[in-house]
Amino acid sequence: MRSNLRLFWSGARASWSTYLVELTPTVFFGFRIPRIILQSLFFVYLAKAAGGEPLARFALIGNAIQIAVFMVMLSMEEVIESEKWNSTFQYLIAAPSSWFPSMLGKSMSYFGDAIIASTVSFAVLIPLLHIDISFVNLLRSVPVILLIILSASALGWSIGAFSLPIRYGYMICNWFAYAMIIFCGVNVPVSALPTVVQFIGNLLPVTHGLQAVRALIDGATYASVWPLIGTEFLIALIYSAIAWLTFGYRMRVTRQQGTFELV
Amino acid sequence: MKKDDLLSTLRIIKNSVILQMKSNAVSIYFIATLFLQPVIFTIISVGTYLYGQKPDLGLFAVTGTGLISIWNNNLFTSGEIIRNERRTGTLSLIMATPSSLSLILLSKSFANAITSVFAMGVTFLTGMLAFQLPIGIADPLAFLIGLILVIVSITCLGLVFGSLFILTRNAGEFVSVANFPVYILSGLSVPLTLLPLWTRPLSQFLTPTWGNIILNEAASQTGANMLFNYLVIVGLSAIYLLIARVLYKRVEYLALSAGTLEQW
Repeated sequence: MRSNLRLFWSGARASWSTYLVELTPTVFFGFRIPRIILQSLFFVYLAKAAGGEPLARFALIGNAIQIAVFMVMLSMEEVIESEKWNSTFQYLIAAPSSWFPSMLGKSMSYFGDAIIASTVSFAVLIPLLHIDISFVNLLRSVPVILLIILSASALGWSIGAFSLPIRYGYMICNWFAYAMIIFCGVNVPVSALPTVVQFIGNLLPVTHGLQAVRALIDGATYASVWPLIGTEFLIALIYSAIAWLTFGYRMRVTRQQGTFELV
Repeated sequence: MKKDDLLSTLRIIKNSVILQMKSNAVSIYFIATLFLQPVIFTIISVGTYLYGQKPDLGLFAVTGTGLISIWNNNLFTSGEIIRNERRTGTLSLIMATPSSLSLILLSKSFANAITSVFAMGVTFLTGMLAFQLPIGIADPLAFLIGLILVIVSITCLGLVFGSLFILTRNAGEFVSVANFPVYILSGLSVPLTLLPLWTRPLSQFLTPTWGNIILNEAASQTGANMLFNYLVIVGLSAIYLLIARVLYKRVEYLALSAGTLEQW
């Protein structure tokens, strides 16, 4: 247990150091924050043009969470893929310790990044667009927003583990995250989508959590949205299991065949 | 210009365009951006308008998304061209050769812009197939002229960014930020009337704004005076080229006086 905690801690420190190197103040304030705001703003304006204030409000909630989902998915995919590009994958295979605490630690700063993204989006867009959202209700929904970020992370890990042997994992994850705007009911309600799209959306993270967040912001109680939260939690567990098994499989096959150069 | 100079310039343009097109043809990233982005953005934008009971804005959303894809491809690849030259260690070499780096950049950007026209086709096709939108271009000739002018103009604008990218390793981050303000300020899929009044002068200075106006007017044949819009785009292209030239000269001076590009 203690060694696992130590692994987790060293992974978290490595993650934080990488984060600080990649995101200098210039990059963070000059590029990252404006990108977060502008991406959400574009889709909210689109909704406002299409359906006025009610749809703009709907899209704001969706996009302020989607931007966090977008960033955390890409980062988690990168956490997995970076083992390949940094040539540390073979060390993970060879190390006698479990890979999980270390990988979880390496993901920690990106959870923080996603939380910042969502917070900034809400904090800037609500006053900018004069959208009526209760601050208290928004705070009440924070645990569900964190659950959504967690389940999206699991999807990012899964994509990273699946795409480890190819070179386009980041690109696949990027387009997958954009497509989730359609499938997960970010700009328009899932119920308005074609049946096939609804079916796919219901299998993805974010869809149920987002519905729960919207209901909570509108004043619903936790008891009334419990089935949605439970489903989101279940989906998070399933994708975590997929990521765990797939990454483990990649490591096992690579070890058996001695082909880490091909990963 | 002497005949030999002209021929060598044309040869540089031809070879750069061919090289870039070959590079694009084998780049999964470029191909995916070209074909996937228009599909996803068309579904999001047209789908949102249809949900909002505004099917009459479907064509507006489709042309806007087409321009988004052209702009995105051009801006993204302008950053990529410099980054690839830097990564392969050829940026300094090209700068040191008698062939002008700006000419090579312009040619490569132009190659990307030509290729990105496919994106416009993909958006129209997506609109027709996914939403059964009755999409027809009322004035195809005006649309074609507008599209060509927009592509040339966006190439010139790409050259402005390309010149700046020589002096930064953050081109990728810049590209990811520069996309969305241009979509918003140019009214691509989003009406300009939603924006605050103070943003209007910024919109007027962006070629996608005028491209959007031209393509929408040509597609729905509103009978507006197209010549004025064409002239604005030509004028903007000239301004972009002038800015790019001044910037490039400055960048070239900095690089030559430092004797290296490694410090940027």
